[in-house]
Amino acid sequence: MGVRVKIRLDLQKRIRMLQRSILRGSCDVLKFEIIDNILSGISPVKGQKRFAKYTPRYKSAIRKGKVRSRGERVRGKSISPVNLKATGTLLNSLTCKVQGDRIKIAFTDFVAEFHNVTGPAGRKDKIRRMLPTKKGEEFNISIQITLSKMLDRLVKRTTKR
Amino acid sequence: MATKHEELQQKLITLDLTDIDNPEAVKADIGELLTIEIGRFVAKGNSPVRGHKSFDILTKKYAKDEKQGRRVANLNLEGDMLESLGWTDEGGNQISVGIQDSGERDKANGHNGIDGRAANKERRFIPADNERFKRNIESKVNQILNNARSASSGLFPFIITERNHDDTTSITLTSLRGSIIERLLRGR
Repeated sequence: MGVRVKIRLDLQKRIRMLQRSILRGSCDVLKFEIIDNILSGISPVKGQKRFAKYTPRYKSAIRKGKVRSRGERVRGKSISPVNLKATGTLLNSLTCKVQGDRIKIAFTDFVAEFHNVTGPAGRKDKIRRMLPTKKGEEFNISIQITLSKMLDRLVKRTTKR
Repeated sequence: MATKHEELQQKLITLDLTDIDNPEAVKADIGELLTIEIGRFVAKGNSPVRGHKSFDILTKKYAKDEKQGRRVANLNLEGDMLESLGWTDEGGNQISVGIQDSGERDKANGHNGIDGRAANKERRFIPADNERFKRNIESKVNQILNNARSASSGLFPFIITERNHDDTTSITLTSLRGSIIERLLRGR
């Protein structure tokens, strides 16, 4: 008499769970990578390369310690790399949320609009893209590869269980 | 990844592009990646070259005079040298990564230790003949090559959909499920 075993694989549930952990993991990776790229003076957006340099006038103000941000005098600001850091409020405002099958990532600080879209004081040549908000834009290859490695790692871990 | 030294402002890299459908795109991705990674390491005062540790910190006087008191040696004063960091397609399966602007090459030589400066003043950011990039960087290069060899592009399937009214970016992982199954089948 043969033995019959019924196994419930629950693959759909496993894939759903994996999907959620990938989304959550992506948020952590993205936040770290975006900030790390910006602090290194590199745009997280593909094709943008390094951030545009500060104007000579602004550099001179940094050297003299005359830069003001949000009503405070900023000392020790870096001239190069251009890392968009004065008080740190802008970079600290990066948020990432998982919403269904989406990740919503944003700089909630109003200054982000100046750097990412309009350019500081309306100067288009000084736009420093911090997030790929335009249609068709992607994160730079370094960020994409880090995400790809994370995806491989999570899938590998799941199959080992 | 086999590497061959040409000169110290430029690193000639030979890639294994067998079984890759679109080698030009892969070379572009790797060139872009290496440029970014060198920039990221150097910005933190670390060498991207295997066997070389963090750069020695700057003297207090120099840091105060030129760098607003910051003592991290990040090879950035005005940013001209690192701005000219880039890559070129050398044809076949080769690319070179390094300083593209000839006016900046003397600086690069100096930092890389060609001018015979003391070892503690050397800041190697381009690998020499017998040197390689750090493991972390090489593993990313290998990831690009492996992804390119797999059935699909294999890259994380991000599709940027729209800019929301509140200036946030929504990312839809439309092909995520397919990508997971593909990876499960590949055993990765």
